[in-house]
Amino acid sequence: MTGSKKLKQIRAELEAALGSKPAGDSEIASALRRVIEHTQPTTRKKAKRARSTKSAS
Amino acid sequence: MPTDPEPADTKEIARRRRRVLESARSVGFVGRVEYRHVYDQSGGAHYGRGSSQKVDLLTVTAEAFERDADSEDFSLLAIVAHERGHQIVARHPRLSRRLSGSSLAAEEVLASLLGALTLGSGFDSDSLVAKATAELLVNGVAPDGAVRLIEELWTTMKELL
Repeated sequence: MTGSKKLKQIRAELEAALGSKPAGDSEIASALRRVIEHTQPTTRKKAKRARSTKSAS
Repeated sequence: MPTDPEPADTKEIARRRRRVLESARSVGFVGRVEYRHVYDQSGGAHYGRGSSQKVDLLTVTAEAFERDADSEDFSLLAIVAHERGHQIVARHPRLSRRLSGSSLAAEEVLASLLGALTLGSGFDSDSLVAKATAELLVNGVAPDGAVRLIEELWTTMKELL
């Protein structure tokens, strides 16, 4: 069975446990970094939005 | 998630069947492959062991297509590859012998890693590596230990295939 846990949740768990950039140059560390970084555009957008809201106020 | 899958016409069902079959064969699944337009709480797919590999059964359900359509979730190909991983665990003589009596979590980890290997490189493969690592974390393995163990298993599985 595949299990019902979404990739988004798995990514959040990995980031909480390993940080946003897991160290190491192995294939596994690189794969984990790519999965965690997959969320970064959204995070960056949010950060950018927060910055522009802050500077506007 | 709603209680029932959205209705689908015969063309859509046929399209899904074709896609499931193509995905299954692309990752090397041997045996029967079916699509069922139902929810069954499997997460979208499950592997059924038959009396021989050629009558093993891969069942994919409507949930797999909903997950595939969600950019924050596993693709259909990754879901199918994970089930192919279960088939390899069950059918590989050395693996099945070594894993008999081991925990469900251990089999889930290996199924994900083997699924990732059948996919080669790419984000679907990465997502299954992530799933395997998260499975270890949930089962109490420390973060550094989890990554190290996945690296060791990855190397071992590569050699085995």
